[in-house]
Order: sequence, then C-alpha cells, then structure tokens
Amino acid sequence: MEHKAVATSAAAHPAAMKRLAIEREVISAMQKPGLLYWALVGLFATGFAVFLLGAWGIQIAKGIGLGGQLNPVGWGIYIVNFVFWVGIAHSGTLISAVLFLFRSKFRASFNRAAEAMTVIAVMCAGMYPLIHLGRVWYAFWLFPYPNQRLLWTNFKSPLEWDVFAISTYLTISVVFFYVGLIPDFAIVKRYTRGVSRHIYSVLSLGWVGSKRQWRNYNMLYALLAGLATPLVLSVHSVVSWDFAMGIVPGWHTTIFAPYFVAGAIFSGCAMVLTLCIPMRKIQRLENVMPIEHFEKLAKTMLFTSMIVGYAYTIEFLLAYYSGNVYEFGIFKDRATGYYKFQYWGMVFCNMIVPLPLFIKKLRRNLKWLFVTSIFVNIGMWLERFVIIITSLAHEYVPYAWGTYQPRGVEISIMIGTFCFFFMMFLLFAKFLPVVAITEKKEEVQ
Amino acid sequence: MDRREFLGLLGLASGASLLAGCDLTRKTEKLIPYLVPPEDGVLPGEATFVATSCTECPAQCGMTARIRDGRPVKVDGLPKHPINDGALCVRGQSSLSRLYSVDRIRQPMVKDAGGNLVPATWADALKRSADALRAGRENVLLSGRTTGSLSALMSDFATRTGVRREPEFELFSYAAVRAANRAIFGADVVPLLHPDRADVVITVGADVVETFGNPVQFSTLLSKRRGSHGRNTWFHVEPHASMTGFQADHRFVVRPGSEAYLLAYLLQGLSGKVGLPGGVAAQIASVPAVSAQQAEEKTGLTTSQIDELRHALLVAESPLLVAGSVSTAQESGLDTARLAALIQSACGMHGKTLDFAQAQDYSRVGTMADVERLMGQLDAGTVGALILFDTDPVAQLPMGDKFGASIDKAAFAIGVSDMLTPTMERCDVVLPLSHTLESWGDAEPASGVVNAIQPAIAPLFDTRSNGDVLLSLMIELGAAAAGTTYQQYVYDRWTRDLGAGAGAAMLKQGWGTGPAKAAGGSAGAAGHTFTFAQSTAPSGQVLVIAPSVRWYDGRSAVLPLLQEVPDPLSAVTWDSWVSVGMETCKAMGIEESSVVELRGEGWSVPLTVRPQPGLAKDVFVVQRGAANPAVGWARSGGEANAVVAITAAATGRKERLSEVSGSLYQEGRGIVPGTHPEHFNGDHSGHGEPKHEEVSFYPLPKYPNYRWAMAVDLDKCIGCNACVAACYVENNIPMVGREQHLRGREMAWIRLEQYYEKDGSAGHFVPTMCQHCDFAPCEPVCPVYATYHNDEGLNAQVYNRCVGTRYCGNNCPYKQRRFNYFSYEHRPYPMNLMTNPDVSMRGKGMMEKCTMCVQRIRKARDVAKDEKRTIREGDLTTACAQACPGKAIVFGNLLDENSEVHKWAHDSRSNRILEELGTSPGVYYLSDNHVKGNGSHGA
Repeated sequence: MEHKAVATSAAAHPAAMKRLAIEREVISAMQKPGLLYWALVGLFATGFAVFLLGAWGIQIAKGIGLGGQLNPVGWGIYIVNFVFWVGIAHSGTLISAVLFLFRSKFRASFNRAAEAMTVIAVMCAGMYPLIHLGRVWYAFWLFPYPNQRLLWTNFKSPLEWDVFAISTYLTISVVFFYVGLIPDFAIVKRYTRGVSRHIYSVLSLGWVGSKRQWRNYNMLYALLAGLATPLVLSVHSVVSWDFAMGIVPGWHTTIFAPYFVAGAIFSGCAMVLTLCIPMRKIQRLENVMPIEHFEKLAKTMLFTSMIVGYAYTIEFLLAYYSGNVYEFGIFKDRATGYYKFQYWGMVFCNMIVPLPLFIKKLRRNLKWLFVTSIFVNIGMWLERFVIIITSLAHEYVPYAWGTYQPRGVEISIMIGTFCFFFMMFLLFAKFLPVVAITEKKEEVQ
Repeated sequence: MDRREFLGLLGLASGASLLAGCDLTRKTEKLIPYLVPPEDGVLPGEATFVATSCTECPAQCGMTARIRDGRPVKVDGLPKHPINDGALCVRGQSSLSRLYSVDRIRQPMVKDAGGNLVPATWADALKRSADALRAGRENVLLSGRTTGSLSALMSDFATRTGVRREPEFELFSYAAVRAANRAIFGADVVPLLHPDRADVVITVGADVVETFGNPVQFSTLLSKRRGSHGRNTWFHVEPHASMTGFQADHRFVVRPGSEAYLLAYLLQGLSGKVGLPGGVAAQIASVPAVSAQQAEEKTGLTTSQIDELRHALLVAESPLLVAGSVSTAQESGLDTARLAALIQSACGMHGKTLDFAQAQDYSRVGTMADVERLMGQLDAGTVGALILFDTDPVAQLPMGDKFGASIDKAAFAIGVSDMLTPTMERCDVVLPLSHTLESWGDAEPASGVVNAIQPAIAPLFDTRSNGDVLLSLMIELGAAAAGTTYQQYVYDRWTRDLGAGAGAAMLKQGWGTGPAKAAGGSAGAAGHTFTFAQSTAPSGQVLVIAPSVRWYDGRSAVLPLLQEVPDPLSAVTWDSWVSVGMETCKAMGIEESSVVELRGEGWSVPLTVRPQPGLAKDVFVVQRGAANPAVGWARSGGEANAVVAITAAATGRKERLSEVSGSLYQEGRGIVPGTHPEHFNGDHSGHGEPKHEEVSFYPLPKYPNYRWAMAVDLDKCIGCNACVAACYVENNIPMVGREQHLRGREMAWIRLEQYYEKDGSAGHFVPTMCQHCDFAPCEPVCPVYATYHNDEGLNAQVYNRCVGTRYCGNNCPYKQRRFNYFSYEHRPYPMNLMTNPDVSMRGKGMMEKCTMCVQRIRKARDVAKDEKRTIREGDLTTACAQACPGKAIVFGNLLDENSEVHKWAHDSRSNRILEELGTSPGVYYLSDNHVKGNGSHGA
C-alpha cells in the first residue's frame, strides 16, 4: 500500500484532510497481513475442510442417520443452525438498507461489515438445508426447472418458499454489497500495485467518480435499498412460515413472522457487535467507528430483546389461555421437561442479559457490549433449538414422543460453519475496505 | 471452422462414440412370452399359494404361503381353516423369518477333537450317530411335542431301533390342566375353548389370546361376540399383568398363589346346582370350605368383585371358565386346575363351551417330573445315545444349565434342530432340520383336524425335514429300506387314515378331517386331596415368569422380526426387562431404566426395569425368553414354576431399554377413541358421534371410483401385534436392530399404541397406521410432490422423488412416517430371499409409510380390468387386516355403500383419531364397547 499517490491532491482544505485521514485509516487496515493472520485463516480453513466438508462427506456416504434425528424429531440442529444464520444475516440488510433510507448516521460505521457478515451468513445458512437433506444429490429437484419428466415443484410448500427466499436474499445482498463497494474499489485501486491493482481495477468497473457516475450510483443504491427493505421483513417471515405453516403445536402460530423478524434483528445486531468490537480494536478503526454508533446498535438490540421477550411471554400465555392440551402441553414441556435448561437458558440470555443496557454507561462500555452480544448469540441459538426441537419432541400422540440429542456429525458440521464464517470474515477484513470510505467521507462537512 | 462444419463434426464424434458403446459381442437372449402358460410352472409376477401348517408353536394353525418367483414371500392363515379361519398370530407371521434366518444351521455338524462343532457331511454325521446308537447302552429320544405322522414315525423309529422314547418335552406342558381333565373328564387333553358360545367368560391366569391353547382360535371365536351384537362379558383373573388381562372386560388382580381360594369359593356357590354327576358332587364335597372373608383376604379382591364373579357364573346360561398358564404353574397349580375342572363340570361347560372332541392332544407330553427322571438317568450314566429332537430344554428349562450338564453325561448326544440353540451346542452331532416350508409332513392342531405340510421351496441349505432325518437314521441303522422318504410315509398314512385319494385333496385344501378321538370318558375317580390351604403362597416380593406373546416359551426369541416387533404391553423391543408395578417402583425408589437385582434361592439375575401400570405391588414379571432364572419347578402340578418368591434390590445402575413408546399414558389427550379427553370438557360432540360431513372451507377431494379406507374395531382388537409382523413381511420393512431402536428410529408402518389409565385400571391398545387423511398435513409441505393425494384417497409416497426434507414426518400429527436414516435395503443371504418383489425397497434418505398395501390394490385392479369390471368388495384386503386374529380390521372402498368398511365407518361407535385437527382421516376406529359402557374403566 502506498500513501503518497494521493497526497498532493488533498491540498490544504481541513475537510479534505479529514477525508484523507479517513481514507488512510481504512486503507491502512488493509495492510499486508502478518503471520498470525494467515495462521488464523489457515486454521479456520482447515476447520472448515475437516469439520464441515469431511463430516458432510461421511454423512452423505453413510446416511443422515449419523445425526441424532429420530422419528418424531425429523429436524435437528441443522435446521436450528439454518435459522440461526438466516437470523444473523438479517442485520446486514437492516443496517444497510433500512437505515440508509432513514438516513441514520450510525449506519456508515457498520454497514460494510454488516453487509459482509450478511453475505457470509447467508452462505452458511444456505448450506444447511442441503446438509440436512436425506438425498442431497437430488437437491436440484427443489428448483422449478423445465424437464422432460414434466416434474414441477410444489409451490404450496413453505420449503419451496424458502428456496426462493434464501436465493433472493443471497442475490440481493451480494449485489447490494458489491454496488456499495464499487467507489471504494476505485479508491483501493489507487493504493495498490501489480496484480492486486489490476483486480481492484476490474472490480471497480471503471469508476472515476464523475458526476454522472455518482448520480446513477446514488439512484441505483437507493433503488436497491428500497428493494432490499421488504426483504428484512419477508425473508425471515418466510423462514418462520417453515414452522408456522405446519400443524405442529408450538409452531402453528400467527405471531411467528414478527417474532422471528424481531429475533433476527436482535441476533444480527448482536453478531455485528461481536465482530465489530474486536475488529475496531485490532484494525485501529476507533475514529471511523465512534462509540456513539455502538451505543445506537445497543439500543436497537435492547429494543428487539424486549420484543422477543414479549413474544416468549405472550406465546406461553396464549397457549395457556387456548385451553388446548396439545398447545399447552408443548409449553409446559419446554419449561419443565427434558429441554428445560435450554428453555431457561434462552430466557436468561435473551430477556435478562440485555436488560442492563438501559444504563447508558454500560451501553457505551464496549467490553460489556461484547459480553452481552455473546450471550445473545447463544441465547438466540437456544431459542431456535427450543422452538424447533421441543415442539417436535412432544407432539399430539404421546406414544410417538421422543427426545433428540445432537450427535457428533452435527456438532462437527456446526463447528465447520463457524470456521467457514470466521475464515470468510477474516479474508474480508484484510482484502476489502471494512468501512464504507466514501460514505464516511460524505459525513465530513 | 464454421457452424455447419462444427455441427457435422459433433454428429460424427457422438455417432462414433455411440457405436463404440454398443457391445456386439454380448450374448443376446430370446424372450418368448408364454402363449400357453405352463400348468404348474413359475409365471413371472404371478403368485401361487401353497397350503401348509404353521409350526412356530404347538398350536399348529393352518397356513398358506404366497410363492413369488419360486420362494415364499408371505405366510398367512389358511382361509376357512377350522382352527384359525384365515388368521395368523404374530409368531406365525414371523415364522417366515425363521426360514430365511441367517442363523440357520446350513449343514450337519460334528464335534471335533477340540470340542467344537464343525461342518460335516450327512454321511459322516449319520454314521457317527448310528455308531453311537449301536453302542449297546440304552438310547433315549427326547423331542418337542409332535403330532400326526411325525409322532407315528417317531414311534416306529423307537420300536424298530430300540430307542426309548421319552415323554415329549414342552415347557408349557399343561400338566396340571391335563391331570385335572383326566381326573374329572377322563381326557388327557387341552380342550378347545368356545368363547363364541359363552355369555360369560372367566379366565384364570390362562392367557387365552397370547399362548394358552390355541390363541388364534380363541381370538377369532371371541371376535364373534365382540363388536355390536351379542357381546359377552369376560372376566380375567391374574396375579400379574398380561395382555390378555387388559383385553378382558374386567381384570381382577389377585395375590399370587391365591387363585385356588377364589375358585374354591366360586365352586361352593355352585354346590347347590342340580344334576351334578355323582363323582363330581363327591369331589366338590371334598374341597376345603373357604369363607367369603377368607377368599377376600387371600386374593386381595374386594367383596363386590368376588360377588360380581360369583353372580356372573351363577346366572350365566352358558359360561366358560378356564384356568391355566401362570395360575397352574405353581405349587397350588394342580388344585387350581382341578377346581377349575370341577366348576367346568358343575356348570356343564364340557361339550358346550369346552370342546373335548376337538382338543389338543398333549398325551405324549411329559411333565417336569419326567424331565427330572430323565436327568436322574442321565446323571447315573446309564444312557448311551441321547437324541434331542427339535427341542431346547437347556434354554427353556428354569434349571437349563443343570439339564445341560446332564446331557454331557450321556455317552453321545445327537441334536436335531434348525438353529444352534444352547442345547445343540452340547451335542456331539447336530443334524440340521429343514423349515416346515421346505418339508413334507402333516400336523394335527386338534383331534379330527389334519393339516398338510408341503414344501413351498426346495431346502435352502443341506438340510432334511424332520421325518427324513428320522428315516435317514433308520436307514443307517438298517431299520428302514433304503430310499424310503417321509413324503411317501405321509402319503401312505393319509391314504390309510383319510381314505384313498385323500392326499391330493389335502394338498389342495391344506387340511382334512381325520378320525376324531373319543370325547373323554366318564368323570374320573375322586381321591384328590386339596392342599392349597396348607401350601404357603409366596409372600413378599414375587416373581412371575409369564409366557410371551412374541416368544411363546422363548423358542421364538431367535427370530429378529420378533425382537423388532415390540412387546404389546411394555413396548420393549430388543431387550430383556422386568416389569415392575408403579407402587413398587415408588417404594423401591426405582424408575424406568433402573437395574434391579432379582435374587432367589441360589440364583440372581440383574434386569432393567420397565414400569408396568396395573401390576400389583411387589409383583415382578419377566417373560419367557427375556430371562430365564433358575427358579426350580412346582411339585404338585408338574408344570415349570412360574410364581416364585424373590428379593429384589435396586443396584443404582441404569441401562436404557430399547422400547418404542414415548409415553404409556394418554397425558390428557383423547387419542383412544371413546375415552373422553379432558380438553373437550366432556361436551365435545365430535367424539362418540359419527361424522359424515366435513366442515371445511375447502372442497373435499373428489374420488371418482374408490376411496380406500380402513376401519378398526377396538372392541375386537386384542392387541397381539400380528398386524405389525404381517406388515413387516408384506412391505419389506427393514429390521433396523437394537441400536437404531435406542435412537428412536423403528420403521414399523403400523404399530400398536398402548395407553394405560394412570391408576392402571385399564389399558387401551390402538393399532395405528398412516391415516390417509383427505387433508393430509404431510402433503402440502413436501417441496417436490413426493407425497400427494391420489384420486382414490390414498396418501401416496413417491419414493424416488423424495429428497428427504422430512417435513412430512414432522407435520404428520399421527407421526406415522418413517425415514430411512441409513441404507437398509440390502439384506444378508438368505434374508434377501424374503423380499416381497411386489414392493419396492426404499433407499437411504427416503421417507416411507403405510401405503394401504397399494401393491395389492394394483393387483386387484389388474384382475378387475381383465374381467372388465371395477374392484369389488372382497377382491383384496391389506396384510394387517388379513392377519388379524380378532378380525378387527376391515379394508375397502368407502364409496361402496355395501362394503364392510362403509358400514363400520358409519357405526355409532365410529370415531377418527385427532379429528378436530381437520385432517379428515381415512381410518375409522370403533370404540371399545367396554370402555364406553363402564365409567370406571374409561375416562
């Protein structure tokens, strides 16, 4: 990386100097990585290969039965992880699209990282329905493509909606992510040489920063933001319908869509915090990621935590008030049955742990925020576990009750996705500008 | 290169590779379809049927084997057979897996110098056997129960070779029952029971729908008095908890060993009856007096219960009372049996509800005293060669190891068996038996009825039929002409006994009517001293060793299918367990999976606990075949002791049992039709009222010709699991083994859900399968249409379209869908031969479930199409309905108003499970009359 290339044009304007400082701070985070970085990337890559690809390969060869699924509980932690990652992916769209339309300032600090997180999380999420399939080699049957056998897909099935929801979401978030990166690629290009310069040059699509380009760009970005905003609601609503459309007690409820969307934003904010707090420290981005912006994120988290907590309570109350023995049976079992630790763990992590964020001091304490975010991540994973597993385990017919426990291959694959996620995020942190440079520059008056 | 040139080249290249792919050297075969099909040849795709006899237990029901491509793929009851009338129990259904068992002995075996059994030739094995038989000392033949020609041949064998034929060994010897019948009715038999002719049925200990007598016959006859009309009342008295008990209308639990008091008290009530035979009256007079108070005290029953029983017996026009099983297999067993016989005689049951003319002949079967005597002779070293013919005393006897040690004392032991049982392992030569389906022969299920046994397949291995083994030995010893076959022997005998030309008719019909034995003589002499008042019934903790509906006396436990099919009471599959009552569990601080140590005199055995509702305090139950403690045997009746005093101690260890039930209770849910679920607050109109109209926003699916449906009469269902075993065999359902059962992945398409009342007062057994709902929740959730609703009402599953999302399984409220978690379709030889070619095997990662035997519907449609008509009632039935001994299941077209299923579905007792979900299931359940009629047992 070279800094002198642009040094002359900055002239003596204080604003221009500030913008240059921002640019340099972000670019400097992209400096040649050290050995530790590569060791970590290597570690995560190996983890991904061994824990995910290896285990998955064995599972394909031997059968899905290596996992812990059983007769009543057909969906195990693969689907838990699927929903978990889709949830994580949510804050990306929220922060980049919704906050963009609302012109929220604090967005600019996180939007790039959040968008990157979204793209990677959607990739992680997208893997799971495949991993979970009994016959993954026929996964292409899930797509409605014209074929000589005249077979079509069932558009009544929520799983089919899922196929579209996830693929749409992945497409939109990749495009959105990429479009946002174009002006930054042009900046990065100026700081690089050789092959990298050539690559960034191609990626910047000939961006020169002309007025016409900016006008078109802003138009496109706003349109994309408008397109992506409904997705915040729709994608996770569709995911929630995977459950709500079933007649499984504990799943079949109308509050699932808003409940899941709130949960998704909640977990997404938590994951952004989990990733950005260390990144801010390591990459020395204290100036471009001011503490006030973290505080705003914490407020969003607190708010969604209360929505989620409300949902937990009202769900229980509705089940009780319904007088329906199946419905209430599920909830009673959640709180007192085999999975009670998961249930109360969920309540603690998602309802109790975020409460201290009412205190401003704690909201501004990054260490506190970090710890809270970890708890929320765990809590939201447990929430999906509780919803999916406990409902299936204690359904209508007592004879067919059963208990599910995840087994080696499932845990291995779960570790594998986390490895994939961190590997990808590390690569992002070094090879792409982690903060939207042009947007940050715009903030400078 | 331009476009045309490119396309030209492409065509040339692909054409060339296509040509290269054609292997012109491969042998071509000419396929000429039959214009005139061979008379008895194998037609591909066409099934033939061979009538034969089941030999899995001594009841010997008539059986028909369905042959496809030269191998039997399914066995069923022989329709119109006088004993079992087309039904076949769980053991009979599973007996096919004995033919194809991987554990069968495949060739003769002899003991080598190291004491190990090694494969040998027939010549070698026979020569060794013959040498041993010629050695000079007294030779002894011990066999299991034999009937018909085999029994006759065995007598011939004994006389011609000088081998002493011991009384036959059966663990369930009915010794006490027979002794009583001999004394009172002058007939050494087990009479056939006629619950269809009885208005009151009282069974004392006798597990009449499980193993006692002929359970299939009892069930088919009982079902005539179940359902809507002419229902009789059935009381069952037992010390433990049996499936039979839960099927009865009233289950009276007595203290172990107190049955004699109850019967003596009942007998006293009858003493005033007129017209008693003289001898009987005298005998009644000799029974020690039992006061009402004494009866209550000893049995633990309430006054009203005893009065109810006494009253029922008194007012009954045609009662049936029978005692047996665990109630006679104990110290006071002979008294109990005699008292029961006296009551039978006093009430005039013989000839009416007890058929002594058509009875099971057990006269050659010995008692425990005979076993003891034989052991004494063996231990004394006087026995030369001991032939153990198709019997397994080492595994079955309560002191089996001791008997095994006695076997070793014989100079030479010749074993004849189909599997390497513990008894066979002690033999010097083992001669392998063919399965019944590979053999000629006959069987006599009851006097006057002869079943033909004819081969349905050539022997899979180097084995010989039981008769041929005897003849081979005789030929080797020079006692029979070379070339004599058992087939000829049987034919000759049929001709002699049943008349010339009877053989052909026998083979076609499967059974014939032989000469019936005289129906017993006059009432025997008195001279029995009743000692029940003196004998001390076991007090404190008591172990009851009960017969097993799956394994009989333990002999069928070797069949994997009978391990895979759960025990109907406890839902345990692959494991050994001890059933313990709820009170005992609480008192001992034990629960499900706890291991308890059962200790008796000189023995102890650790067993895993399975809580059993309805079991009295301090009573522990193990099933024959699940565990075999060395408990000794009762003296008085000569039956193997089934009720023993023990001490049980918790070990603190835990071991998971492989069982398939999620809960033994309904947990407040109205799963069992006719029981009133709490959540309906008692005023829900959906239950108890037949519903014919669907209330829905959505139009009902249109069914132009058929709506296949099923109806199950819970009043007739006896919970025996025959349907489950039948379904396994018919539909190639994989047997997945213990490990997968522990993980909750059993594959059964039909199952018997058992729900007990919390207080154990009643048990409900509901056979459930895919309900083929009109609005099936599984259908809309499949993303690839692998499951869909066809226009005949079937909820169809397209296996090869399934990608395995398992959402259908999740969304099925009845939880009837089964997923292939692993690749189960490859079965080891010869088990692979059992595969029904009409049903496709399912691969790894696919969902499967009950299809209502769609392959049979297809077959019936083909036939109907050839005859230019639609499928009619009676053209087909499903495997479960066909097997059902209680005739509790009907299958048919719901749109046909004359069909049985239509009638049942519109019966006033008709219900559907979880109807309130709006699934509109296609399986109707007729609630148990008894549950409805008696509030104390319902709710």
